[in-house]
Amino acid sequence: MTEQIERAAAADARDAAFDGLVAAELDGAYRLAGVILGDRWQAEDATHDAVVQAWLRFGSLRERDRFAAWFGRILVNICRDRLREKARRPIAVRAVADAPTDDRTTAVEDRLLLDDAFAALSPDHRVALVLRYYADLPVEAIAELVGVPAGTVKSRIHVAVERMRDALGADEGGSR
Amino acid sequence: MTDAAFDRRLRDWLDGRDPGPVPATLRESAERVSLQTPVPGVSRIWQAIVGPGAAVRPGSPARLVLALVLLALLVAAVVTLITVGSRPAPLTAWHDYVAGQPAPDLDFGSVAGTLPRGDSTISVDDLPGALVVLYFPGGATAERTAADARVLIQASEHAPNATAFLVIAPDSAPIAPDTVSLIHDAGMLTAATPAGWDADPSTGRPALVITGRGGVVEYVFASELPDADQLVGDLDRASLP
Repeated sequence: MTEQIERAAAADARDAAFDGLVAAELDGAYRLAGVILGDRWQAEDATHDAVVQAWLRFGSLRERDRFAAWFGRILVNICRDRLREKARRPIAVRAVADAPTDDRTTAVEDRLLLDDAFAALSPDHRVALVLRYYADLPVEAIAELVGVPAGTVKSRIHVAVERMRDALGADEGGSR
Repeated sequence: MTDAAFDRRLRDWLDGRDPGPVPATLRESAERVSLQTPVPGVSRIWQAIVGPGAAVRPGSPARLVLALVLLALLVAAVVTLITVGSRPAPLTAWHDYVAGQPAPDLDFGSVAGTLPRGDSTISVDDLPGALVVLYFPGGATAERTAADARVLIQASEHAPNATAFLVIAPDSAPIAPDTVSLIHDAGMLTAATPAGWDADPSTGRPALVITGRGGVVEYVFASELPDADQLVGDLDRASLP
């Protein structure tokens, strides 16, 4: 009986630890998914899926203080899979269709150009761009998060930025 | 444009995609995950045997044998499931519409005066030989529902012959009367979800289902629905024998 009580207590402690760790990461995860996917419904789905996957694998996480990076990796993988899945669908939908509309800092035309350029990037390039310029992560952290060498991340960021810049015609009549 | 100016613009644009704070619905559903999502027994046993992070640790031969036995049992269970088959789950949401499968035989409640012949309910089976477009607004906002309805109306003007459009809203989230009028004026039908229908509690997102003339589901869209041109293209494809 004592052993059963100890097991139950250990399970409760694990559940509570998981809930606390997820609660701390949830807001940032949802926002990051929203920026990557450009759709708040999909962001909700992806974040929820990440929580479920994290819960199912929580027992394999040895260092709880690495939860944030571990959870982030799960989330980014899910977002990337969703982008790939979307690319395979017979019908492509503009990412701007459900994007937030409160962006008052850039002209509407520029926003649409950037939306289109972003939608034309591969899932890997989109993820790299968002992690660098939205999440402000250093290249090494991005490399760890997406599981590729730092050189690959640098290349992806460079290509993505150039394509976004081209979309705005940034090279025309301006210095760099 | 300088690098700094472009950098600023790019960051501003990315910030503009930020959906804002996490919705309460997602926070609540995330809190329920550890309560409602059982960790598979196999996974618990596996972790009990090999321990966390075993992939980077050499295991003892005894543990390896146990792990292989478990793996064999798992494979046997999967083979049994495939061979014997499983009972379909009750129909509770638009998730039950699966591309390539026959449309579920499910009656939607009519909204007075909107169905032909005064039927009290309607289902895909009631429209033999027709292409059927089912639109589920779910928990979408009135604006989103109205926008989606306009897309359906626009598509209906160029849809193949014998295409039926059915807009199905839950009783808990009825469609705005002016949108209903638009739908009816365009010759489309409205209906209510049956009792027990679960409008996707995690998101309440809208969905669109297209069934072909043989009653087989051709396309299922969730959240991001096709625009009018794309929808017409899909209907054309779905109408092909």
